[in-house]
Amino acid sequence: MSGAYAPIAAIIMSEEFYARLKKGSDETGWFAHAGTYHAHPVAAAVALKVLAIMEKRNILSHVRSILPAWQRQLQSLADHPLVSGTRHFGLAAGIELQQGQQQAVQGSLKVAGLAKQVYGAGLAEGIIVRHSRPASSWRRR
Amino acid sequence: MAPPLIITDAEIAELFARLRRALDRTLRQQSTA
Repeated sequence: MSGAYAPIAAIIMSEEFYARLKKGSDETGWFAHAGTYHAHPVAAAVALKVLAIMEKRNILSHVRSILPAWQRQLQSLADHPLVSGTRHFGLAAGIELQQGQQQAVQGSLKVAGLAKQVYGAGLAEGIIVRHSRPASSWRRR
Repeated sequence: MAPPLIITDAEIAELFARLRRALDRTLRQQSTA
């Protein structure tokens, strides 16, 4: 939202959800929820400016135009021995890692260590690969 | 100077080429570990 120029967070919800939330707040008191970074005037001004630039430069349209190329490139990684799957939401991509064949046999490297290795290798190639917990751990929560 | 907001197809290809090299590098590290 701010292009990472300033820390800011927001919550998006449907009109129906908001109406129910408002009704509950009116009847029983505020739904007291807050983001760590919200309502700061400087961050809000930065976010408004970034959104204005995105609209002026028609960034969303550009994103839609390059999405097929992004998808093709992402899917092209599927044949790599360390990749067990890929997925994306817009230009945010996720790559699921798996042990290489040799390591799978040896069982000596956990997936978290693998993500750390890929992170380091990414730095050596001039890119930052962020890692998160395995999707399966998210599903369990 | 503001960073570019527009990424091109060529830059996407370069990004994923680097990512593949990073994966290859990791695979080699595993092989030699």
